[in-house]
Formats: sequence, C-alpha cells, structure tokens
Amino acid sequence: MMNDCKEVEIREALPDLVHGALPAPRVALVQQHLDVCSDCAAELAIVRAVLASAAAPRVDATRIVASIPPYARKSSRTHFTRTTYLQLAAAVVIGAAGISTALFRSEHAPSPAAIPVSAMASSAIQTSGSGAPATATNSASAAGSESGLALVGTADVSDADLAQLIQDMNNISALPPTDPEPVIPAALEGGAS
Amino acid sequence: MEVTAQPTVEPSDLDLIRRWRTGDGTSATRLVERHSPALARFVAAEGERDQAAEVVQDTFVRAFGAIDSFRGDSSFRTWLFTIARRLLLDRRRAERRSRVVATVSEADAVTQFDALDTMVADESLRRVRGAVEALSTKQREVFTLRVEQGLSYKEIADLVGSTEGAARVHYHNAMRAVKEFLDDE
Repeated sequence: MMNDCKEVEIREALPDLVHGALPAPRVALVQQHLDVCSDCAAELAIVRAVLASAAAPRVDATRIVASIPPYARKSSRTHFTRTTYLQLAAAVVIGAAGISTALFRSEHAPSPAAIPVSAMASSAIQTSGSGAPATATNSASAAGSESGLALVGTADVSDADLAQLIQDMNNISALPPTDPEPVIPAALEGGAS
Repeated sequence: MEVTAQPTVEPSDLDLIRRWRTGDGTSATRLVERHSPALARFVAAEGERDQAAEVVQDTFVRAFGAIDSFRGDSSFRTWLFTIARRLLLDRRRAERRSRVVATVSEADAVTQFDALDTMVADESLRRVRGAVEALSTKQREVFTLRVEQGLSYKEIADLVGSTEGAARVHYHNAMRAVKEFLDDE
C-alpha cells in the first residue's frame, strides 16, 4: 500500500528532480529525504515510469519546416486606420467650426432683409445673360449674404450641413417656415395650349 | 598557457525567432527540432497519438504564421502547447468523436534494463500507463504536463485556464489515484 508522505514540498519537487530543474542544494536535500522515505522513493519511481512510458511519437522536423511559410510582416492596417481616424477627426472639427460660425453669425447678425425663400430659389436658377445658368453657388451666396447668413458655396457643403443650414434659415423670423413657391419658367407662363 | 574552450551557448527561443524574422531559415529548423518532441509527447498525452505528426505540423505552421503575436509573456514552448491544445479542442468539436486513448507500444518505451528486467520493466510501464489513462480528463492533463513536460504549476494553470492552487490539487489527486490503481492491480 503506497502512502503519501507528509513532506509535500519534497513530493512536489520530484518532477523537477527528474527533469533536472532543481538547483544543486535542493537536489541534495531531496536526495537526503529519498534515502530515508520509502513513500517518496515509490512516488519518484512512478514519476520516472510515467515519463519513460510517454515516449514522443516520431515527427519529421524537415517536413514541418518545409511547410512553414516565410515570414511576412503584418500590414500596417492599424497605422493606416489611425491616420485615417486622425484625418476624419480633423475634418469633423473643421466642419463643426464652420457650422458653429454660421450659427454664431445667424444669431448675432442684424435683422436680415426680408428675402423670401422663393426669391432665393428663383435667383438660384436664373440664367445669366450669356445663357449659361447662373450657378446656384453664386446666387445662393449672394442671397445668403443679404440675409446675413454666411452661406458658403453649396459645392463644398455636405448634405448634413445643408440640412442644418436650411433648418437655420427656417428658424429666422424674417422667413416664413414654408416650402419655397414653385418657380414657373417664363416660357411656360405664356402657356401654349 | 591553457586555452579553455568556451562552451557553446545555445541561442534562446527569442533570439531564434528574431533571426527567423530577418530571413534566417535555419532558425526555424532549430526551433522545430528543439520543441517538436515535447509537443508530440504533449499531443499524445492528450489522446491524439495517431494524429500527433499532423497536429504538431499544424501547430508550428500556425505559430510561425502568428509569430508577431508572441509577446514572450510565457515561454515559447508553453505558447506552442496552448496553440496545440486549441487545435485539439477545435478538432474534437468538429469531428465529434470520443477521445482516442493513447497507448504506448513496447517499441516506443525507453528502457535501460537487461532482457528479464526488460520484460518486467515493460509490464510495469504498461501498468503505469494504464493508471494514467484511467485518470479523469483534467487530472490526466495536469498530471502529464507536470510529470512528462516538467511544467510548473503556474505554467500549467495558464495553459489550461485554471489557477495554480487548482493545478496543485489536481496533481496530488492524480498521483493518489495512480497509486491506488497500481495497488489494486
């Protein structure tokens, strides 16, 4: 009947002894105990037998090495993403600053001239004398400056900014919160039946 | 004047990994040769002796493919064991088959005795192996990692996702069970 020795530290050191992982002074202490303890000697025999019975299956190291792909440094996706985030963050800050400026001016500008939205819309699509359509950008800018709104050219304003600007325009007391009246081109007003 | 030969210092695993990254193919060979026997023994102890070569190869391929994620917090060998263990869990989950009990053939057992003692020794090894195979899954895993691989309780705990204390308890319970098994035979 194999018993457990009460010297737990000695028993726990047995695998390290077998693997040569004990410092020399500790080896001497363990060996001294093994000389007088049959329980630990039996346990050491079990440890050695388990190790001996667990021979490693044969593996072909050459074949393994041949299957390893060459080293490839991971792509700098993280760096690219971080840079992209910085760029996006800068764009958001600039955009927010632009909208804040527009809001600030709308709040502190003198009473705007009563320019109906319809007038702004019609001026935006009036053709110039040369026949080329006046750009909405310029017309809107002109109308906007008269209303005190620092409208920027619509070409460089996002949809969200435009929506905000339109909301701001609706909030101006001088302008009725209604949709602009439809503009009927003069050619159709004559109405060929 | 006496000239003392300087003992050859084996490069560490981290050194070999660094060299491999710079294109030194021999470093991969040295790492594989250094760790494949222990890895094969670990896979066999996990009950996959027949698939050991394939699992070991797969482990190294994955390890070298993800070498940049090895931070050196654990030893390279423990990291390999972790990868192999996960591979085995994935294989079992995918194949849905019971564990293949590892058996040690007489040809594999290492003995240093004469003919009569060889017979006795082989029989003893067979009995001991039977005792280990009769352990519970967790006890067998901890016991074989401690005895066959010489891992510390902390390394075992990190590998199996447990605590040092639990690993220590599993080991002693396993040793008691092996003794009882051998006493009963």
